[in-house]
Amino acid sequence: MQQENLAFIEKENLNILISNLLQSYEIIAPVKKEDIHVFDRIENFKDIDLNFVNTTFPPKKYFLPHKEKIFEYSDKKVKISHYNENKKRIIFGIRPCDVHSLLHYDKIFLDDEFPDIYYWEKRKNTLIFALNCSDSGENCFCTSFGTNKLSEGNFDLLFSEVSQGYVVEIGSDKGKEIIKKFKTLFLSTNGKENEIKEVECKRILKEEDIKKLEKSFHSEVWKKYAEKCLSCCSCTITCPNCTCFGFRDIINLDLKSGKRIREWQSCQLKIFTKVAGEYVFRSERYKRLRHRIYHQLHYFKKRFNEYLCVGCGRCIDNCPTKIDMIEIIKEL
Amino acid sequence: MCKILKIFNETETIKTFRVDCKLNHDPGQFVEISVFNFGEVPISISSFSKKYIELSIRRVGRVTNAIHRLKEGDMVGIRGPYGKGYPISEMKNSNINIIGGGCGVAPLRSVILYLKKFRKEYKEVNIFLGFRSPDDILFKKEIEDWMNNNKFKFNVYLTVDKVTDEWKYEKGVITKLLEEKEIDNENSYALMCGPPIMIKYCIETLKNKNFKDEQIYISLERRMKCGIGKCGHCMINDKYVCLDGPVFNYSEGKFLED
Repeated sequence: MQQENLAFIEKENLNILISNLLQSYEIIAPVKKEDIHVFDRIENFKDIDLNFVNTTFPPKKYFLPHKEKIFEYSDKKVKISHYNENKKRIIFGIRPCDVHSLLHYDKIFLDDEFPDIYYWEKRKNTLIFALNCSDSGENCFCTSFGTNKLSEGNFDLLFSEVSQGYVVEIGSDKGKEIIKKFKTLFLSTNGKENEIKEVECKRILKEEDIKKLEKSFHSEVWKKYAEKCLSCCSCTITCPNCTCFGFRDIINLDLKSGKRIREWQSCQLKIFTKVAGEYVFRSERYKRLRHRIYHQLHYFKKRFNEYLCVGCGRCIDNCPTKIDMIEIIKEL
Repeated sequence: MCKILKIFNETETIKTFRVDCKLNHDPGQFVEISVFNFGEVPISISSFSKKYIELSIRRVGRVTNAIHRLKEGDMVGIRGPYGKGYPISEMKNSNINIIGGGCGVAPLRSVILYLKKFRKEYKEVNIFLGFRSPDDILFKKEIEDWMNNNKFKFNVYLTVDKVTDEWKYEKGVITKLLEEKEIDNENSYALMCGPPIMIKYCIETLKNKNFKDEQIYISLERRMKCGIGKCGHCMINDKYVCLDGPVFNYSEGKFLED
Protein backbone atom coordinates (compact mmCIF):
# COMPACT_ATOMS: atom_id res chain seq x y z
CA MET A 1 0.00 0.00 0.00
CA GLN A 2 1.41 3.36 -0.97
CA GLN A 3 0.88 6.27 1.36
CA GLU A 4 -0.60 8.61 -1.27
CA ASN A 5 -3.29 6.05 -2.05
CA LEU A 6 -4.48 5.90 1.56
CA ALA A 7 -6.71 8.09 3.69
CA PHE A 8 -8.53 7.80 6.97
CA ILE A 9 -12.17 8.60 7.70
CA GLU A 10 -13.74 8.76 11.14
CA LYS A 11 -17.00 6.88 11.71
CA GLU A 12 -19.05 10.11 12.06
CA ASN A 13 -17.58 11.45 8.84
CA LEU A 14 -18.53 8.30 6.98
CA ASN A 15 -22.10 9.21 7.84
CA ILE A 16 -21.61 12.68 6.32
CA LEU A 17 -19.89 11.23 3.25
CA ILE A 18 -22.65 8.73 2.54
CA SER A 19 -25.40 11.30 3.21
CA ASN A 20 -23.75 13.68 0.73
CA LEU A 21 -23.26 11.01 -1.88
CA LEU A 22 -26.93 10.01 -1.58
CA GLN A 23 -27.84 13.32 -3.21
CA SER A 24 -26.25 12.34 -6.48
CA TYR A 25 -25.95 8.56 -6.32
CA GLU A 26 -28.21 5.62 -5.70
CA ILE A 27 -26.47 3.70 -2.92
CA ILE A 28 -26.76 -0.03 -2.39
CA ALA A 29 -25.46 -1.25 0.94
CA PRO A 30 -25.86 -4.05 3.50
CA VAL A 31 -29.02 -3.70 5.57
CA LYS A 32 -30.47 -5.99 8.19
CA LYS A 33 -33.77 -7.67 7.31
CA GLU A 34 -35.16 -9.85 10.08
CA ASP A 35 -32.16 -11.99 11.00
CA ILE A 36 -30.15 -11.76 7.80
CA HIS A 37 -28.11 -9.11 6.01
CA VAL A 38 -28.83 -8.33 2.39
CA PHE A 39 -27.92 -5.61 -0.09
CA ASP A 40 -30.63 -3.04 -0.56
CA ARG A 41 -31.07 0.48 -1.86
CA ILE A 42 -30.72 2.84 1.11
CA GLU A 43 -32.51 6.13 1.82
CA ASN A 44 -30.41 7.18 4.81
CA PHE A 45 -27.04 6.32 6.28
CA LYS A 46 -28.78 4.79 9.27
CA ASP A 47 -30.31 2.10 7.04
CA ILE A 48 -26.85 0.58 6.70
CA ASP A 49 -25.89 -2.16 9.15
CA LEU A 50 -22.21 -3.04 8.96
CA ASN A 51 -22.39 -5.55 11.77
CA PHE A 52 -22.18 -8.50 9.40
CA VAL A 53 -19.71 -11.13 8.28
CA ASN A 54 -21.15 -11.47 4.78
CA THR A 55 -24.59 -10.88 3.31
CA THR A 56 -26.79 -13.95 2.82
CA PHE A 57 -27.32 -13.05 -0.81
CA PRO A 58 -24.54 -11.66 -2.98
CA PRO A 59 -25.19 -8.34 -4.77
CA LYS A 60 -25.44 -10.08 -8.16
CA LYS A 61 -29.05 -9.03 -8.73
CA TYR A 62 -27.93 -5.40 -9.03
CA PHE A 63 -25.84 -6.36 -12.06
CA LEU A 64 -27.78 -9.35 -13.37
CA PRO A 65 -31.36 -8.92 -12.18
CA HIS A 66 -33.42 -11.95 -11.31
CA LYS A 67 -35.82 -10.90 -14.06
CA GLU A 68 -34.85 -8.33 -16.65
CA LYS A 69 -36.68 -7.00 -19.68
CA ILE A 70 -34.43 -7.18 -22.73
CA PHE A 71 -36.90 -5.97 -25.33
CA GLU A 72 -40.51 -5.18 -26.00
CA TYR A 73 -42.27 -6.37 -29.09
CA SER A 74 -45.46 -5.57 -30.89
CA ASP A 75 -46.92 -6.87 -34.15
CA LYS A 76 -43.94 -6.03 -36.29
CA LYS A 77 -41.64 -3.94 -34.15
CA VAL A 78 -38.99 -4.68 -31.55
CA LYS A 79 -37.84 -2.09 -29.04
CA ILE A 80 -34.59 -2.90 -27.24
CA SER A 81 -34.57 -2.03 -23.54
CA HIS A 82 -31.98 0.06 -21.84
CA TYR A 83 -31.14 0.55 -18.22
CA ASN A 84 -33.13 3.73 -18.03
CA GLU A 85 -32.12 4.92 -14.58
CA ASN A 86 -29.19 6.98 -15.66
CA LYS A 87 -28.49 7.84 -12.05
CA LYS A 88 -25.05 6.71 -11.02
CA ARG A 89 -24.82 4.04 -8.38
CA ILE A 90 -22.48 3.14 -5.57
CA ILE A 91 -22.32 -0.29 -4.06
CA PHE A 92 -21.00 0.15 -0.54
CA GLY A 93 -19.90 -2.62 1.80
CA ILE A 94 -19.30 -5.29 -0.83
CA ARG A 95 -16.80 -7.88 0.38
CA PRO A 96 -13.65 -8.56 -1.66
CA CYS A 97 -14.85 -12.07 -2.58
CA ASP A 98 -17.99 -10.59 -4.16
CA VAL A 99 -15.89 -8.02 -6.03
CA HIS A 100 -13.94 -10.92 -7.52
CA SER A 101 -17.26 -12.35 -8.71
CA LEU A 102 -17.92 -9.07 -10.49
CA LEU A 103 -14.59 -9.50 -12.26
CA HIS A 104 -15.80 -12.94 -13.36
CA TYR A 105 -19.02 -11.41 -14.74
CA ASP A 106 -16.81 -9.05 -16.75
CA LYS A 107 -15.02 -12.05 -18.24
CA ILE A 108 -18.28 -13.80 -19.14
CA PHE A 109 -20.43 -10.84 -20.22
CA LEU A 110 -17.92 -8.34 -21.59
CA ASP A 111 -15.98 -10.47 -24.04
CA ASP A 112 -14.86 -8.79 -27.28
CA GLU A 113 -17.13 -10.72 -29.61
CA PHE A 114 -20.51 -10.54 -27.84
CA PRO A 115 -20.45 -7.86 -25.10
CA ASP A 116 -23.68 -7.73 -23.10
CA ILE A 117 -25.11 -4.20 -23.12
CA TYR A 118 -27.62 -4.86 -20.33
CA TYR A 119 -24.83 -5.84 -17.97
CA TRP A 120 -22.41 -3.18 -19.17
CA GLU A 121 -24.88 -0.33 -18.59
CA LYS A 122 -25.18 -1.30 -14.94
CA ARG A 123 -21.55 -2.17 -14.42
CA LYS A 124 -20.13 1.07 -15.85
CA ASN A 125 -22.52 3.17 -13.80
CA THR A 126 -21.58 1.59 -10.48
CA LEU A 127 -18.76 2.65 -8.18
CA ILE A 128 -17.33 -0.13 -6.04
CA PHE A 129 -16.81 0.84 -2.39
CA ALA A 130 -15.55 -2.46 -0.99
CA LEU A 131 -15.23 -3.34 2.68
CA ASN A 132 -12.51 -5.64 3.95
CA CYS A 133 -13.54 -8.42 6.33
CA SER A 134 -12.78 -8.20 10.03
CA ASP A 135 -14.04 -11.70 10.73
CA SER A 136 -14.41 -15.05 8.95
CA GLY A 137 -17.72 -16.83 8.49
CA GLU A 138 -18.08 -20.49 9.51
CA ASN A 139 -17.65 -21.65 5.91
CA CYS A 140 -15.45 -18.94 4.41
CA PHE A 141 -12.47 -20.17 2.42
CA CYS A 142 -11.56 -17.18 0.25
CA THR A 143 -7.95 -17.13 1.50
CA SER A 144 -7.49 -20.44 -0.34
CA PHE A 145 -7.98 -18.53 -3.61
CA GLY A 146 -6.52 -15.16 -2.61
CA THR A 147 -9.92 -13.59 -3.27
CA ASN A 148 -9.73 -11.83 0.12
CA LYS A 149 -7.39 -9.32 -1.57
CA LEU A 150 -8.16 -6.72 -4.20
CA SER A 151 -5.71 -5.11 -6.55
CA GLU A 152 -5.80 -1.54 -7.82
CA GLY A 153 -8.18 -1.02 -10.71
CA ASN A 154 -10.63 -3.62 -9.46
CA PHE A 155 -12.36 -1.28 -7.01
CA ASP A 156 -12.86 2.45 -6.50
CA LEU A 157 -12.48 2.67 -2.73
CA LEU A 158 -11.63 -0.06 -0.24
CA PHE A 159 -12.58 0.45 3.42
CA SER A 160 -10.87 -1.38 6.28
CA GLU A 161 -12.15 -0.98 9.81
CA VAL A 162 -9.61 0.29 12.37
CA SER A 163 -10.06 2.04 15.72
CA GLN A 164 -12.46 5.01 15.45
CA GLY A 165 -12.92 4.73 11.72
CA TYR A 166 -11.81 3.30 8.42
CA VAL A 167 -8.61 3.30 6.44
CA VAL A 168 -9.60 3.98 2.83
CA GLU A 169 -7.52 2.72 -0.06
CA ILE A 170 -7.97 4.40 -3.43
CA GLY A 171 -8.23 1.97 -6.35
CA SER A 172 -9.20 4.17 -9.30
CA ASP A 173 -9.35 7.72 -10.62
CA LYS A 174 -13.05 7.84 -9.86
CA GLY A 175 -12.29 6.88 -6.26
CA LYS A 176 -9.63 9.56 -6.12
CA GLU A 177 -12.12 12.17 -7.32
CA ILE A 178 -14.53 11.28 -4.53
CA ILE A 179 -11.79 11.72 -1.90
CA LYS A 180 -10.77 15.01 -3.49
CA LYS A 181 -14.32 16.31 -3.59
CA PHE A 182 -14.89 15.54 0.09
CA LYS A 183 -11.34 16.15 1.27
CA THR A 184 -12.40 17.86 4.47
CA LEU A 185 -13.88 14.55 5.68
CA PHE A 186 -10.63 12.62 5.25
CA LEU A 187 -7.48 12.67 7.35
CA SER A 188 -4.07 11.15 6.82
CA THR A 189 -3.80 7.64 8.16
CA ASN A 190 -1.01 8.33 10.65
CA GLY A 191 0.05 4.71 10.62
CA LYS A 192 -3.45 3.39 11.23
CA GLU A 193 -3.05 1.14 8.18
CA ASN A 194 -0.73 -0.98 10.35
CA GLU A 195 -3.77 -1.88 12.47
CA ILE A 196 -5.36 -3.72 9.51
CA LYS A 197 -4.90 -7.39 10.12
CA GLU A 198 -5.50 -10.09 7.59
CA VAL A 199 -8.38 -12.33 8.55
CA GLU A 200 -7.67 -16.04 8.48
CA CYS A 201 -10.51 -18.07 6.99
CA LYS A 202 -11.99 -20.77 9.17
CA ARG A 203 -11.84 -23.27 6.33
CA ILE A 204 -9.31 -24.20 3.69
CA LEU A 205 -9.63 -25.78 0.25
CA LYS A 206 -6.22 -26.98 -0.80
CA GLU A 207 -4.95 -26.65 -4.37
CA GLU A 208 -3.77 -30.27 -4.30
CA ASP A 209 -7.30 -31.37 -3.38
CA ILE A 210 -8.83 -29.37 -6.24
CA LYS A 211 -6.35 -31.01 -8.61
CA LYS A 212 -8.01 -34.34 -7.81
CA LEU A 213 -10.93 -33.19 -9.98
CA GLU A 214 -8.83 -33.90 -13.05
CA LYS A 215 -9.22 -37.61 -12.36
CA SER A 216 -12.42 -37.86 -10.32
CA PHE A 217 -15.16 -37.36 -12.88
CA HIS A 218 -16.34 -40.96 -12.50
CA SER A 219 -15.90 -41.17 -8.73
CA GLU A 220 -18.72 -42.73 -6.70
CA VAL A 221 -18.45 -39.82 -4.25
CA TRP A 222 -20.70 -37.70 -6.50
CA LYS A 223 -23.50 -40.23 -6.24
CA LYS A 224 -23.12 -40.47 -2.48
CA TYR A 225 -23.51 -36.72 -1.93
CA ALA A 226 -26.19 -36.36 -4.60
CA GLU A 227 -28.41 -38.68 -2.57
CA LYS A 228 -28.79 -35.81 -0.11
CA CYS A 229 -29.40 -33.19 -2.79
CA LEU A 230 -32.96 -31.87 -3.10
CA SER A 231 -32.28 -29.84 -6.29
CA CYS A 232 -33.63 -26.84 -4.38
CA CYS A 233 -31.12 -24.49 -6.06
CA SER A 234 -30.19 -22.69 -2.81
CA CYS A 235 -26.55 -23.11 -3.83
CA THR A 236 -26.94 -21.52 -7.25
CA ILE A 237 -29.24 -18.75 -6.04
CA THR A 238 -26.88 -17.63 -3.29
CA CYS A 239 -23.70 -18.24 -5.29
CA PRO A 240 -22.21 -14.92 -6.41
CA ASN A 241 -20.77 -16.65 -9.51
CA CYS A 242 -23.78 -18.58 -10.79
CA THR A 243 -25.04 -16.40 -13.63
CA CYS A 244 -26.84 -18.86 -15.92
CA PHE A 245 -30.06 -17.58 -17.40
CA GLY A 246 -32.90 -18.30 -19.80
CA PHE A 247 -35.49 -16.30 -21.70
CA ARG A 248 -39.25 -16.09 -21.49
CA ASP A 249 -41.90 -14.09 -23.37
CA ILE A 250 -44.54 -12.34 -21.28
CA ILE A 251 -47.63 -11.57 -23.35
CA ASN A 252 -49.75 -8.46 -22.92
CA LEU A 253 -53.52 -8.72 -22.74
CA ASP A 254 -53.89 -7.65 -26.37
CA LEU A 255 -52.23 -11.01 -27.20
CA LYS A 256 -50.08 -9.24 -29.79
CA SER A 257 -47.46 -7.34 -27.87
CA GLY A 258 -45.33 -8.26 -24.92
CA LYS A 259 -41.82 -8.38 -23.63
CA ARG A 260 -39.00 -10.87 -23.56
CA ILE A 261 -37.33 -11.20 -20.21
CA ARG A 262 -34.19 -12.93 -19.22
CA GLU A 263 -34.27 -14.63 -15.85
CA TRP A 264 -32.00 -16.70 -13.66
CA GLN A 265 -32.02 -20.41 -14.26
CA SER A 266 -30.21 -23.14 -12.41
CA CYS A 267 -28.12 -26.05 -13.65
CA GLN A 268 -29.45 -28.01 -10.67
CA LEU A 269 -32.80 -28.49 -12.40
CA LYS A 270 -33.53 -31.13 -15.01
CA ILE A 271 -35.15 -28.64 -17.36
CA PHE A 272 -31.80 -26.86 -17.72
CA THR A 273 -30.51 -29.37 -20.28
CA LYS A 274 -33.80 -30.51 -21.74
CA VAL A 275 -33.98 -30.49 -25.54
CA ALA A 276 -36.61 -31.20 -28.17
CA GLY A 277 -38.30 -34.53 -27.65
CA GLU A 278 -38.06 -34.30 -23.84
CA TYR A 279 -34.48 -35.57 -23.78
CA VAL A 280 -32.51 -34.43 -20.70
CA PHE A 281 -28.72 -34.56 -20.89
CA ARG A 282 -28.13 -34.30 -17.15
CA SER A 283 -31.14 -36.16 -15.86
CA GLU A 284 -29.38 -37.79 -12.91
CA ARG A 285 -28.95 -35.59 -9.86
CA TYR A 286 -25.31 -36.51 -9.34
CA LYS A 287 -24.47 -35.23 -12.82
CA ARG A 288 -25.99 -31.87 -11.99
CA LEU A 289 -24.18 -31.61 -8.65
CA ARG A 290 -20.95 -32.67 -10.34
CA HIS A 291 -21.42 -30.16 -13.16
CA ARG A 292 -21.84 -27.27 -10.70
CA ILE A 293 -18.71 -28.10 -8.75
CA TYR A 294 -16.65 -28.82 -11.86
CA HIS A 295 -17.76 -25.50 -13.35
CA GLN A 296 -16.69 -23.67 -10.19
CA LEU A 297 -13.35 -25.40 -9.71
CA HIS A 298 -12.26 -26.83 -13.03
CA TYR A 299 -14.07 -25.77 -16.22
CA PHE A 300 -13.86 -22.01 -15.67
CA LYS A 301 -10.19 -22.36 -14.80
CA LYS A 302 -9.55 -24.21 -18.06
CA ARG A 303 -11.21 -21.42 -20.02
CA PHE A 304 -10.21 -18.32 -18.10
CA ASN A 305 -7.22 -19.53 -16.07
CA GLU A 306 -8.91 -18.69 -12.80
CA TYR A 307 -11.23 -20.48 -10.38
CA LEU A 308 -14.84 -19.41 -10.72
CA CYS A 309 -15.45 -20.09 -7.03
CA VAL A 310 -14.39 -17.20 -4.80
CA GLY A 311 -14.69 -19.11 -1.52
CA CYS A 312 -17.59 -17.16 0.02
CA GLY A 313 -19.03 -20.37 1.49
CA ARG A 314 -22.66 -19.41 0.76
CA CYS A 315 -23.46 -22.71 -1.00
CA ILE A 316 -22.41 -24.55 2.15
CA ASP A 317 -24.14 -22.12 4.54
CA ASN A 318 -27.44 -22.30 2.70
CA CYS A 319 -27.73 -25.96 1.73
CA PRO A 320 -30.69 -27.41 3.64
CA THR A 321 -29.10 -30.85 3.67
CA LYS A 322 -25.60 -29.56 4.45
CA ILE A 323 -23.91 -30.67 1.25
CA ASP A 324 -20.41 -29.35 1.68
CA MET A 325 -18.27 -28.71 -1.39
CA ILE A 326 -15.04 -28.79 0.63
CA GLU A 327 -15.96 -32.16 2.15
CA ILE A 328 -16.75 -33.59 -1.28
CA ILE A 329 -13.45 -32.44 -2.76
CA LYS A 330 -11.52 -33.84 0.20
CA GLU A 331 -13.24 -37.18 -0.09
CA LEU A 332 -12.56 -37.64 -3.82
CA MET B 1 -37.36 -9.41 -38.21
CA CYS B 2 -37.41 -11.50 -41.36
CA LYS B 3 -40.23 -12.58 -43.67
CA ILE B 4 -41.06 -16.21 -44.38
CA LEU B 5 -40.84 -16.48 -48.17
CA LYS B 6 -41.90 -20.07 -48.67
CA ILE B 7 -42.89 -23.11 -46.66
CA PHE B 8 -42.20 -26.68 -47.82
CA ASN B 9 -43.95 -29.62 -46.19
CA GLU B 10 -41.33 -32.32 -45.74
CA THR B 11 -43.07 -34.87 -43.56
CA GLU B 12 -46.06 -34.91 -41.26
CA THR B 13 -44.03 -33.21 -38.52
CA ILE B 14 -41.27 -31.39 -40.40
CA LYS B 15 -41.53 -28.25 -42.50
CA THR B 16 -38.78 -26.29 -44.19
CA PHE B 17 -39.08 -22.52 -43.92
CA ARG B 18 -37.34 -20.29 -46.43
CA VAL B 19 -36.66 -17.00 -44.69
CA ASP B 20 -35.73 -13.67 -46.25
CA CYS B 21 -32.44 -13.34 -44.43
CA LYS B 22 -29.07 -12.92 -46.09
CA LEU B 23 -26.37 -14.53 -43.96
CA ASN B 24 -22.78 -15.42 -44.61
CA HIS B 25 -22.52 -18.77 -42.90
CA ASP B 26 -20.68 -22.08 -42.89
CA PRO B 27 -22.59 -25.34 -43.34
CA GLY B 28 -23.40 -26.66 -39.86
CA GLN B 29 -23.87 -23.30 -38.15
CA PHE B 30 -27.17 -22.44 -36.47
CA VAL B 31 -29.46 -19.46 -35.90
CA GLU B 32 -31.86 -18.58 -33.09
CA ILE B 33 -35.37 -18.21 -34.45
CA SER B 34 -38.02 -16.27 -32.49
CA VAL B 35 -41.77 -16.27 -32.58
CA PHE B 36 -42.89 -13.54 -30.21
CA ASN B 37 -45.24 -14.64 -27.43
CA PHE B 38 -43.74 -18.13 -27.64
CA GLY B 39 -39.98 -17.84 -27.46
CA GLU B 40 -36.81 -18.70 -29.27
CA VAL B 41 -35.13 -21.94 -30.39
CA PRO B 42 -31.77 -22.81 -31.95
CA ILE B 43 -32.12 -24.33 -35.43
CA SER B 44 -29.35 -25.29 -37.83
CA ILE B 45 -29.35 -23.82 -41.30
CA SER B 46 -30.25 -26.44 -43.90
CA SER B 47 -29.55 -24.32 -46.99
CA PHE B 48 -26.49 -22.80 -48.57
CA SER B 49 -27.45 -19.66 -50.42
CA LYS B 50 -26.54 -16.00 -50.43
CA LYS B 51 -30.16 -14.98 -50.98
CA TYR B 52 -32.02 -16.64 -48.12
CA ILE B 53 -31.75 -19.24 -45.36
CA GLU B 54 -33.83 -22.38 -44.97
CA LEU B 55 -34.64 -23.92 -41.63
CA SER B 56 -36.05 -27.44 -41.44
CA ILE B 57 -38.02 -27.68 -38.24
CA ARG B 58 -39.69 -30.60 -36.52
CA ARG B 59 -42.81 -29.78 -34.53
CA VAL B 60 -41.98 -30.95 -30.99
CA GLY B 61 -42.41 -28.20 -28.43
CA ARG B 62 -44.06 -24.86 -27.71
CA VAL B 63 -41.96 -22.73 -30.05
CA THR B 64 -41.66 -25.20 -32.92
CA ASN B 65 -45.44 -25.74 -32.86
CA ALA B 66 -45.89 -21.98 -33.07
CA ILE B 67 -43.50 -21.83 -36.01
CA HIS B 68 -45.50 -24.55 -37.77
CA ARG B 69 -48.66 -22.46 -37.45
CA LEU B 70 -47.03 -19.56 -39.36
CA LYS B 71 -47.84 -18.85 -42.99
CA GLU B 72 -45.87 -17.52 -45.92
CA GLY B 73 -45.46 -13.77 -45.45
CA ASP B 74 -45.39 -13.97 -41.64
CA MET B 75 -42.43 -12.53 -39.75
CA VAL B 76 -39.95 -14.30 -37.49
CA GLY B 77 -36.96 -13.04 -35.51
CA ILE B 78 -33.57 -14.38 -36.56
CA ARG B 79 -30.22 -14.04 -34.70
CA GLY B 80 -27.00 -15.54 -35.91
CA PRO B 81 -25.29 -17.37 -37.47
CA TYR B 82 -23.67 -18.86 -34.40
CA GLY B 83 -21.17 -21.57 -33.57
CA LYS B 84 -18.67 -23.51 -35.60
CA GLY B 85 -19.85 -25.48 -38.62
CA TYR B 86 -18.20 -28.25 -40.60
CA PRO B 87 -14.77 -27.04 -41.80
CA ILE B 88 -15.63 -28.17 -45.33
CA SER B 89 -13.55 -25.47 -47.03
CA GLU B 90 -10.45 -26.94 -45.35
CA MET B 91 -11.18 -30.40 -46.77
CA LYS B 92 -10.52 -29.65 -50.43
CA ASN B 93 -9.08 -32.43 -52.60
CA SER B 94 -10.26 -35.16 -50.24
CA ASN B 95 -13.03 -37.73 -50.14
CA ILE B 96 -16.11 -36.65 -48.23
CA ASN B 97 -18.46 -39.07 -46.47
CA ILE B 98 -21.68 -37.61 -45.21
CA ILE B 99 -23.66 -39.62 -42.68
CA GLY B 100 -27.00 -38.32 -41.48
CA GLY B 101 -30.00 -39.68 -39.66
CA GLY B 102 -33.51 -38.22 -39.35
CA CYS B 103 -33.57 -34.52 -38.53
CA GLY B 104 -29.77 -34.61 -38.52
CA VAL B 105 -29.90 -34.57 -42.30
CA ALA B 106 -30.90 -30.88 -42.16
CA PRO B 107 -27.47 -29.34 -41.36
CA LEU B 108 -25.83 -31.88 -43.67
CA ARG B 109 -27.99 -30.68 -46.55
CA SER B 110 -26.16 -27.38 -46.18
CA VAL B 111 -22.88 -29.28 -46.64
CA ILE B 112 -24.25 -31.15 -49.67
CA LEU B 113 -25.45 -27.91 -51.28
CA TYR B 114 -21.99 -26.45 -50.66
CA LEU B 115 -20.42 -29.51 -52.31
CA LYS B 116 -22.79 -29.17 -55.25
CA LYS B 117 -21.48 -25.67 -55.75
CA PHE B 118 -17.80 -26.52 -55.39
CA ARG B 119 -17.94 -30.13 -56.62
CA LYS B 120 -14.75 -29.94 -58.68
CA GLU B 121 -12.64 -29.18 -55.64
CA TYR B 122 -13.49 -32.46 -53.94
CA LYS B 123 -12.80 -36.09 -54.79
CA GLU B 124 -15.35 -38.80 -54.05
CA VAL B 125 -18.54 -37.81 -52.24
CA ASN B 126 -20.50 -40.55 -50.47
CA ILE B 127 -23.79 -39.66 -48.87
CA PHE B 128 -25.42 -42.04 -46.37
CA LEU B 129 -28.88 -41.05 -45.23
CA GLY B 130 -31.12 -42.96 -42.85
CA PHE B 131 -34.73 -42.42 -41.84
CA ARG B 132 -37.32 -44.34 -39.85
CA SER B 133 -39.74 -44.91 -42.72
CA PRO B 134 -40.33 -43.61 -46.26
CA ASP B 135 -42.80 -41.11 -44.79
CA ASP B 136 -40.10 -39.62 -42.56
CA ILE B 137 -37.75 -38.65 -45.38
CA LEU B 138 -36.74 -35.01 -45.61
CA PHE B 139 -35.85 -33.39 -48.95
CA LYS B 140 -37.17 -36.46 -50.77
CA LYS B 141 -37.19 -35.00 -54.29
CA GLU B 142 -33.81 -33.40 -53.80
CA ILE B 143 -32.27 -36.64 -52.57
CA GLU B 144 -33.52 -38.40 -55.68
CA ASP B 145 -32.00 -35.65 -57.78
CA TRP B 146 -28.63 -36.08 -55.99
CA MET B 147 -28.90 -39.80 -56.72
CA ASN B 148 -29.90 -39.65 -60.34
CA ASN B 149 -28.31 -36.53 -61.73
CA ASN B 150 -24.92 -37.66 -62.98
CA LYS B 151 -23.45 -34.21 -63.11
CA PHE B 152 -23.15 -34.08 -59.29
CA LYS B 153 -21.20 -37.37 -59.13
CA PHE B 154 -22.59 -38.11 -55.67
CA ASN B 155 -22.87 -41.70 -54.40
CA VAL B 156 -26.10 -41.53 -52.44
CA TYR B 157 -27.23 -44.39 -50.20
CA LEU B 158 -30.67 -44.05 -48.72
CA THR B 159 -32.05 -46.44 -46.15
CA VAL B 160 -35.12 -46.74 -43.93
CA ASP B 161 -35.79 -48.94 -40.91
CA LYS B 162 -39.36 -49.79 -41.84
CA VAL B 163 -40.01 -50.46 -45.52
CA THR B 164 -43.20 -50.36 -47.53
CA ASP B 165 -44.01 -52.36 -50.66
CA GLU B 166 -43.07 -49.57 -53.05
CA TRP B 167 -39.71 -48.94 -51.40
CA LYS B 168 -36.88 -49.28 -53.92
CA TYR B 169 -33.81 -48.29 -51.92
CA GLU B 170 -31.92 -49.82 -48.97
CA LYS B 171 -33.42 -51.33 -45.85
CA GLY B 172 -32.12 -51.40 -42.27
CA VAL B 173 -30.05 -49.25 -39.99
CA ILE B 174 -27.50 -46.88 -41.47
CA THR B 175 -24.57 -48.67 -39.79
CA LYS B 176 -25.25 -51.80 -41.84
CA LEU B 177 -25.14 -49.74 -45.00
CA LEU B 178 -21.94 -48.07 -43.91
CA GLU B 179 -20.36 -51.45 -43.17
CA GLU B 180 -21.27 -52.90 -46.56
CA LYS B 181 -20.01 -50.08 -48.75
CA GLU B 182 -16.38 -49.67 -49.63
CA ILE B 183 -15.11 -46.38 -48.32
CA ASP B 184 -11.57 -45.19 -48.68
CA ASN B 185 -10.13 -44.10 -45.36
CA GLU B 186 -7.13 -42.42 -46.98
CA ASN B 187 -7.48 -38.70 -47.43
CA SER B 188 -11.11 -38.93 -46.26
CA TYR B 189 -13.40 -37.21 -43.84
CA ALA B 190 -16.67 -38.30 -42.26
CA LEU B 191 -19.25 -35.62 -41.45
CA MET B 192 -22.06 -36.77 -39.20
CA CYS B 193 -25.26 -35.58 -37.62
CA GLY B 194 -28.06 -37.63 -36.14
CA PRO B 195 -29.39 -39.26 -33.01
CA PRO B 196 -26.70 -40.08 -30.37
CA ILE B 197 -27.20 -43.82 -30.82
CA MET B 198 -26.60 -43.59 -34.56
CA ILE B 199 -23.47 -41.48 -34.06
CA LYS B 200 -22.12 -44.00 -31.55
CA TYR B 201 -22.44 -47.03 -33.82
CA CYS B 202 -21.38 -45.21 -36.97
CA ILE B 203 -18.18 -44.13 -35.24
CA GLU B 204 -17.50 -47.76 -34.30
CA THR B 205 -18.00 -48.77 -37.92
CA LEU B 206 -15.73 -46.00 -39.18
CA LYS B 207 -13.05 -47.02 -36.68
CA ASN B 208 -13.29 -50.56 -38.04
CA LYS B 209 -12.62 -49.08 -41.45
CA ASN B 210 -9.49 -47.48 -39.97
CA PHE B 211 -10.77 -43.94 -39.82
CA LYS B 212 -8.83 -41.84 -37.31
CA ASP B 213 -10.60 -39.63 -34.74
CA GLU B 214 -9.29 -36.54 -36.52
CA GLN B 215 -11.08 -37.55 -39.73
CA ILE B 216 -14.51 -37.60 -38.05
CA TYR B 217 -16.75 -34.60 -37.37
CA ILE B 218 -19.91 -34.79 -35.28
CA SER B 219 -22.59 -32.21 -34.56
CA LEU B 220 -23.99 -32.10 -31.02
CA GLU B 221 -27.45 -31.10 -29.94
CA ARG B 222 -27.87 -29.02 -26.80
CA ARG B 223 -30.22 -26.39 -25.40
CA MET B 224 -28.46 -23.33 -26.84
CA LYS B 225 -30.47 -20.48 -25.36
CA CYS B 226 -28.25 -17.46 -25.90
CA GLY B 227 -25.98 -18.78 -28.65
CA ILE B 228 -23.11 -16.62 -27.44
CA GLY B 229 -21.52 -18.53 -24.56
CA LYS B 230 -23.18 -16.82 -21.64
CA CYS B 231 -26.36 -18.55 -20.49
CA GLY B 232 -24.67 -21.85 -19.56
CA HIS B 233 -27.35 -24.19 -20.90
CA CYS B 234 -25.26 -25.85 -23.59
CA MET B 235 -22.16 -26.46 -21.47
CA ILE B 236 -20.61 -29.91 -21.61
CA ASN B 237 -17.48 -30.00 -19.50
CA ASP B 238 -15.60 -26.78 -20.24
CA LYS B 239 -17.03 -26.45 -23.76
CA TYR B 240 -19.91 -24.28 -24.85
CA VAL B 241 -21.65 -26.11 -27.69
CA CYS B 242 -22.85 -22.75 -29.05
CA LEU B 243 -19.30 -21.33 -29.33
CA ASP B 244 -16.96 -24.31 -29.60
CA GLY B 245 -19.49 -26.42 -31.51
CA PRO B 246 -22.10 -27.55 -32.45
CA VAL B 247 -19.67 -29.31 -34.80
CA PHE B 248 -16.75 -30.93 -33.01
CA ASN B 249 -13.86 -32.93 -34.33
CA TYR B 250 -14.21 -36.37 -32.77
CA SER B 251 -10.70 -36.21 -31.30
CA GLU B 252 -12.08 -33.42 -29.10
CA GLY B 253 -15.71 -34.52 -28.96
CA LYS B 254 -15.06 -38.03 -27.67
CA PHE B 255 -13.95 -36.71 -24.29
CA LEU B 256 -17.08 -34.68 -23.71
CA GLU B 257 -19.43 -36.10 -21.09
CA ASP B 258 -22.37 -34.50 -19.27
